[in-house]
Amino acid sequence: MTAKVTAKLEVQDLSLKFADKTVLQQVNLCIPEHKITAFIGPSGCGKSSLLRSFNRMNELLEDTETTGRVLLDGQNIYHSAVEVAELRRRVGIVFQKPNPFPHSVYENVAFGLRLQGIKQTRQLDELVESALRKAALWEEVRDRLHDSAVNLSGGQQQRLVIARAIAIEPEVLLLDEPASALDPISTLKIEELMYDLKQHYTLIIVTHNMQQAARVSDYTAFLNMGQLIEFDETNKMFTDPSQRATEDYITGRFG
Amino acid sequence: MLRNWFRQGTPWIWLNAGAVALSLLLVGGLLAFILLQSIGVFWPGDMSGHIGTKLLQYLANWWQFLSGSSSDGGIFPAILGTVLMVLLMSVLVTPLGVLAAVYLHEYAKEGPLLRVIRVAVHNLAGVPSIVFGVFGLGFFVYFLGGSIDSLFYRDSLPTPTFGAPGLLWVSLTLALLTLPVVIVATEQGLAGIPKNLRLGCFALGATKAEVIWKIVLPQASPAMVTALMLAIARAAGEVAPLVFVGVVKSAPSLPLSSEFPYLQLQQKITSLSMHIYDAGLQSPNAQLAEPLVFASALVLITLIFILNLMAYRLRKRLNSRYRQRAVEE
Ligand SMILES: Nc1ncnc2c1ncn2[C@@H]1O[C@H](COP(=O)(O)OP(=O)(O)OP(=O)(O)O)[C@@H](O)[C@H]1O
Ligand SMILES: [Mg+2]
Repeated sequence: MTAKVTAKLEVQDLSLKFADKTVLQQVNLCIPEHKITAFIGPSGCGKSSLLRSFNRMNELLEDTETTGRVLLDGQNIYHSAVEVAELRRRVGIVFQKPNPFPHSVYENVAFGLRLQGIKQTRQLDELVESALRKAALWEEVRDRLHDSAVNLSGGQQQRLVIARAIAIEPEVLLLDEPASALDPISTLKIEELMYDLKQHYTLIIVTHNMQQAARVSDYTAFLNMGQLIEFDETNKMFTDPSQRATEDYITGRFG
Repeated sequence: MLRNWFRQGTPWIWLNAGAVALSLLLVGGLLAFILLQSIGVFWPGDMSGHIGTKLLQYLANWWQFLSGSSSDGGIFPAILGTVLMVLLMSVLVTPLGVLAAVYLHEYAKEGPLLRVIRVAVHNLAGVPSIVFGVFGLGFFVYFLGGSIDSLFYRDSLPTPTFGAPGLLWVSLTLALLTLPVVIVATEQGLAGIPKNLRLGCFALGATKAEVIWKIVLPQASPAMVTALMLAIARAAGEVAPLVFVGVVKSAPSLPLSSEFPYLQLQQKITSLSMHIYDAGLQSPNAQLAEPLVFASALVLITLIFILNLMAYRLRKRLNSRYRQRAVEE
């Protein structure tokens, strides 16, 4: 089985500093294509930061310094010739905190599509609807597509930003705790969505929910204090981890 | 006991309330005074007759005052001059100020040079307005206007066309005068945009220019309107600097024309503030003019109020268009 897997993303000696604080330290990792990889680890260990380094979002934050390489389909995304906007279109991200634009629900989802130059109303309508359906939000907002998105509930906003990200069909989708504000039914729908998406896309999710990680992911990476402690197939990781720290964390005996 | 009184913040509340009351009293008193002084000016006291006819005459007198030319004792040229110079100033200062603010806040690299520029902009706001008038005369009128004349109006020299004080230079001077206000207020608006809105936009594959155009500027537009409101209020009241660059006590003709752009940019104009100054201090019969001065002041206040109201409505529209709950990072 491992022989068939190709790496979509290859992380080589990646380190990241915020001001003078080292947040990621010499991370080496291969993210397999068309699979779901889960990042787990205690709060503040650098999961979000690692996720952001896959589409160069860290450099938009103040005072960051990245060293090392991240290869997307074999190409280093930190090479100076890379068009960052195009990279981010291929590698989409959903942040930990939902950040809908203060526009209508419709315009939020259409935003990325319009950036792509799609202007026809019919085409936009269809794409917006399909993205909202995939994110399990359509039924709730179909009658208020033109209301402001900031009036949606927290969980609805979370699904809206997911819809916004998948509307432009990125090759890799980075989801930072996508279900942290969702009820069990919406969570289940988002998990189903991830399952559907992995047929065509590569997904990475950050989660604090061990059951969720075990349920949806094919691979799991365990991080602690900016270092990658263990990376393996999820089945292996959750039944027979090779590191003591991993076992402690998964079973809840950590720290 | 006393300590408790302090700890509960009672003196603080009284101080606050007192400050508010004092401000209200001063502003309200000022408005009431001007209103009282001017409201009766046009009442036909010497006329006998029915109250209805008197009222009609009263309104007719006001109308005469508002629409008449200066030779008829009216202030229409002054109203028109004020409106034109302020509008033209807005057209000039808004794009310039907004572009400068966007550059300073979004593109310029943080560093000593930027700090110097910022301090310079802030200090520009503190330069006495008369200095702007002198600068306007030297730079705009003589240098710019003179150059325009020698390039495009060679035939009519030595009679200057743009090389003399006029509406364009008045508006440009006002634009320069109010530029720091617009830059500073717009920059504050830009700084208030939540970081994660920008990040969300970048995350969808937007370039920096697209982020600014689609998220930053719309979000900052209410702040820009506020900035413009401040600028307009300041500009409409200026007299001294404008005397250098084209405001006179009575303009030979209105700065309008029947052809595009329907404005005579090189014409001298008169303004309400100028009229108030002139009628109040310079007229040979100051006693007689005094009521008219108050009437002019009332008109000026009303005009600024109307302009502000328009800006306020616009800001509310923009605010609800880009309505947002505080999205904290
Ligand atoms: N913008 C920033 N500026 C400075 N330090 C930051 C910034 N963002 C994150 N950090 C620091 O980097 C470290 C890793 O943060 P990160 O958000 O990646 O953790 P995380 O694993 O996602 O945590 P959580 O599970 O709580 O979301 C933390 O110590 C954090 O304080
Ligand atoms: Mg995080």
